[in-house]
Amino acid sequence: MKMKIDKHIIWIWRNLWSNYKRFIVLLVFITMLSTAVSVSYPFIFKLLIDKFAEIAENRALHPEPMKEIYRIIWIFVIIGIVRIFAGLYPGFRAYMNLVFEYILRKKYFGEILRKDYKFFLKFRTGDLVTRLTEDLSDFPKICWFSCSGIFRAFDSFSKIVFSLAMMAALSWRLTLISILPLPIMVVIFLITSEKLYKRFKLNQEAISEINNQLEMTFSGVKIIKAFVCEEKYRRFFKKTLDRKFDTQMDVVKLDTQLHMVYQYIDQFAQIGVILFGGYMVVVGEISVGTFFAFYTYLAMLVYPMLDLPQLFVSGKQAFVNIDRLEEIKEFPSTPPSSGKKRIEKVDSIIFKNVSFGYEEREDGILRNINFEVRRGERVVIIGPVGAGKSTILSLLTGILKPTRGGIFINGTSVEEVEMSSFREKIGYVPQEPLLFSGTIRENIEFGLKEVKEDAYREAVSVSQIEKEIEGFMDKDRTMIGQRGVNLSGGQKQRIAIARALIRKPEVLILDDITASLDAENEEKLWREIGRIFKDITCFIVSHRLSTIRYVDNVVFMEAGMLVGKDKHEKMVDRFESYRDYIQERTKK
Amino acid sequence: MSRKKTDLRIILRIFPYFAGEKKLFLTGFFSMMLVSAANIVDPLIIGHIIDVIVPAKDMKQLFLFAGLFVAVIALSGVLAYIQTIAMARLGVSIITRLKKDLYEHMLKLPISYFDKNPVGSLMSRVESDSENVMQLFSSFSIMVIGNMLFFLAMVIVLLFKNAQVTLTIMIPIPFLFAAALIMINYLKRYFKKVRELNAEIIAVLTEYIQGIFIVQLFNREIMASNILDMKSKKKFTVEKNAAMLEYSFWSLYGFTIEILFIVMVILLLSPKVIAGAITVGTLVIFIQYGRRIFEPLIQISENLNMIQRSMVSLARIFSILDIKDERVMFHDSVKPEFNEAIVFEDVSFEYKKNEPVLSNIRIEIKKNKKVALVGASGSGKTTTVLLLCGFYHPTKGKILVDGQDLRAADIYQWRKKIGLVMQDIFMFPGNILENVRIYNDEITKEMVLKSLSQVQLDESVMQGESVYRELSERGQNISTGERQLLSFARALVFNPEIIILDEATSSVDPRTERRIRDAMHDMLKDRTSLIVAHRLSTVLNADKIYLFQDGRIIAEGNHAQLMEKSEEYRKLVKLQFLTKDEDEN
Repeated sequence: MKMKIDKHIIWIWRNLWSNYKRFIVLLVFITMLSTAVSVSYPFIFKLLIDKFAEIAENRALHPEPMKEIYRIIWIFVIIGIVRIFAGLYPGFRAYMNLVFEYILRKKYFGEILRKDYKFFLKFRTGDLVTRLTEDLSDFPKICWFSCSGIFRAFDSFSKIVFSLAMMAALSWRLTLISILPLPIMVVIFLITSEKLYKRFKLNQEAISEINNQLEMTFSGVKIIKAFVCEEKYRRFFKKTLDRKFDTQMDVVKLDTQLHMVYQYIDQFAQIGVILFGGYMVVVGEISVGTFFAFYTYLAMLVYPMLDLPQLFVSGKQAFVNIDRLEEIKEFPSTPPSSGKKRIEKVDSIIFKNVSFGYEEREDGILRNINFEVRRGERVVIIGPVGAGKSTILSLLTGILKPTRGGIFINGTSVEEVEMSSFREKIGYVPQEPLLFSGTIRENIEFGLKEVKEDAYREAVSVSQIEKEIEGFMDKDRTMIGQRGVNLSGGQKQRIAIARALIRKPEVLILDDITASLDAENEEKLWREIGRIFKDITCFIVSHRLSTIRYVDNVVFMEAGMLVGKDKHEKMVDRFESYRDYIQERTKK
Repeated sequence: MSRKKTDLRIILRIFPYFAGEKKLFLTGFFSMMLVSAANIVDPLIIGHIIDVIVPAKDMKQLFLFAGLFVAVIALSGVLAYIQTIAMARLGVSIITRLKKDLYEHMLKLPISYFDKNPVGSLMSRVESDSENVMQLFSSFSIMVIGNMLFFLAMVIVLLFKNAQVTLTIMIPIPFLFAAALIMINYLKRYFKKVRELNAEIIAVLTEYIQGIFIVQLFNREIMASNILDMKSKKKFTVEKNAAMLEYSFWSLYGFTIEILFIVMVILLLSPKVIAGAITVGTLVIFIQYGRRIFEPLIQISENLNMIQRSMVSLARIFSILDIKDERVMFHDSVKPEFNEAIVFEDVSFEYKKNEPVLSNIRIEIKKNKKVALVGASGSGKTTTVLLLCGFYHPTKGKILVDGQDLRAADIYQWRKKIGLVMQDIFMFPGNILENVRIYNDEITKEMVLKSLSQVQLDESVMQGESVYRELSERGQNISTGERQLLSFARALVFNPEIIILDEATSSVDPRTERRIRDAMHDMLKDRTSLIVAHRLSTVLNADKIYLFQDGRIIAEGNHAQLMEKSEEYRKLVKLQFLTKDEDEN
């Protein structure tokens, strides 16, 4: 358990504190200053009360008593002014929390951006968003804990130490009595902290479960409604809520019990002070002022004493969240390629003995694929469902990596190629068109700098979306996404095509766009591509046989294997399975 | 002022939720009162020790008072425990109920609501918003009420001790309260802005994580990172300024309270103490109480952001609960009977005003017939299907089922007759079994297996792992075609009267399509079906085909009739390779 805490503290140091050492020192200084201010109050009250006692005892020695009182008041005012400065320090802490939030979000979003498909198979979007928002910024999670939390602990700690020091200076015997219960507190803390951590984790899991259920309900609401399953989902959700009710109450109960025990322990110390201190005053060993100061110090100690374990509790919670962040970073993800060789021009793409499979089997999806595509060649990949057509495209773009065999660009293995330089040459249109919030134009340019008007016009017109854009009120400044217009699937698809074409790609990859591109538009699209992008290499996955008209060669796939690659007519001659496939498709 | 009123109205609306928890509330409230009373007592004990016991050197009384102190502490500890647990329980159960109500209500909302709101924000409505509210209605509200009572009790005790001094030191209190309120109001604006920026950050994260592969393929990681950075930085700046302003203010405020207040007490009381008019013990009581007098205000202000957030969350929750559910859209009375025909009678529809998607369409779907809708994308075919499912109402015209307006039908009964296969197939997280029966446990595993084999999917999709094979988010670990087939199995397992395939055939390769067609052939014989497709081969044998263009129907009839009379239809057919194939055969 000790190890666990250390690991997280090291994480906080490495990721956060080490870059802000000076600020941390400043915080330490201000914290101590603020402690000094707090600790001096009871002492001044002691001076005041003793002064009154002195005055009462021998009035003659104090001809101008108020003057002496004024002196004490001045000390008060001076300390008060220091307090103004020291009082700012929660602000500094908050500032630091915000800085941490900012840098962590940036860092871990960067991590996410580099992850491969395996990562996204495991982590759901909603979950990742939570990790980068609530987990960071909410109280008492990572950022609060990493600065405010730790410094509040330090603040409490220094208040305890300073107060004890002052008490010891006033009367060490009385101090000893007061700190007697301290070891008991430590023991209780050690016993309960592991239990608390477990309960927190259970509660956290219950929350995740709720979020998962919410996500699936709202994402699949049309299906749920269409099949009238609302009642089932209601029962389902209620069960989950009930579970969370229990886990949450478990946390609250243990937390409160701890709180109560600690409060008792501290207060019994106060009773000790009343008894022994009272006795000492009565026998004249200490003054009334000292007695009062002791009492005040002990009262002052209650909150820090309660706060410290509380902070361990929130620390545990923050640590869970830190683990969740680290889980993102630690998740093994192979970068697309570590190669250095830049691709200036794509002359050929070769698949050599490529196999691919997800976890279970390394050739579960594709088996021993071999083919070559040369510059300017257009190929359509066809075959039955599950034959592995889209997987070939994902391998080509480096989203997936072959489990065996290799892909070569201009004869160089992809492993040695700087992937981004190759991707720059690719224009990719996904099966499900994914656009982002922003204007239509922003979506098409998609971060491209200094786009020439001609290039933009060209991409839009080739993609057969020009007329529709003109039809919108704000033209290409029309907002799409959450707050914008509803585009049809086909419109989105054509915008995605324009997004690919505006980059003047050397390799165009269309992953089954027939779903939302009707035959007429497809015809126009290919005519225009032929006219404007003469040299372009194309990989097309299609289910529409008409696409064959627009390509040079057909790649036919069946059950994860490549049957052959050739011209359509020759394929018909050469392969019976292809012939059957085509016939089956065109037969009435 | 009006804002205040709405705030009040919101708080009043939560009261029914308390009503069910009277016992918890009373327990919490009572124990809190007693805790406050105990807190009032302990400075009095110290005062008494200083003033009476010490001068009299009365050890017996000292023990008595120490004993009294023990009793007070023990009692207040137990009470505080009861109070905390009771209040936490109250808060958690109110929020659990609120979440449940909200979720159930949302399930009943019309589809148009889900069109407008992204999933992420719906999720945070139910989960985060409710959690925000909890803080307000559990420990915090009790703490505030407790502190108020404590404040009152302190003032009363002080008035008894020395009315004149008490009244004098009370003079600045209204001003200090006013200053705090002004500040609180000023800070509200900052917090609101921060919340808005936070929502923007969530939106950016959601979008770019969902579109991660596009970002990666286009080498736009840096762009995505910069967009987030910009939003993040904005939020940082606003929040930082708010924090700085807030803490500077409270720092000065704290100075005013702690220093000026206590100095005032000392200045006013010292001459009296010296003159022997009041005791040192009284001074101690004044000092002790004085430092606590502003605790309620400081606590409220420290939690200001939280209160604000809770109020906003609560307002949002109620505004969702106020949205009329589907049952209001449909009159919800007549049990729909479908024995003859479904008729779209001059139906028009627009999602947004003056942007018609459908204009005056007339469709007739006779019982047990196969009807197909064809035409370019965006011509209104999908919308037609959604109208038939009762997800939207026609803006004009009527949908009649056996002559009965669908608007007057019990919509849930109606949907039970429909098996829908949608254009974009949604996969639930979980295994194949749950994805087919969409977590409806009335459907047995055997029924699922049967429907899987009906679409000839049992072998390939289960990969030897049976129906418990887990699917990843959006079913990314199975192929599009398999997803398509799963959604067919899903429709079949519910054994519907009407099957609706929306553009389903278009993403399935021909061979699988044939497989499905074969499998479905028998069932379609006894069922009504409505098929939306770009590809014509699946609809050639339809009893009736409607050709859509720009939201209108421009031709209708069976394949042969349309070939004869519609130029547009012939064009469509030609483009799809079909004429050529026909020649070949």
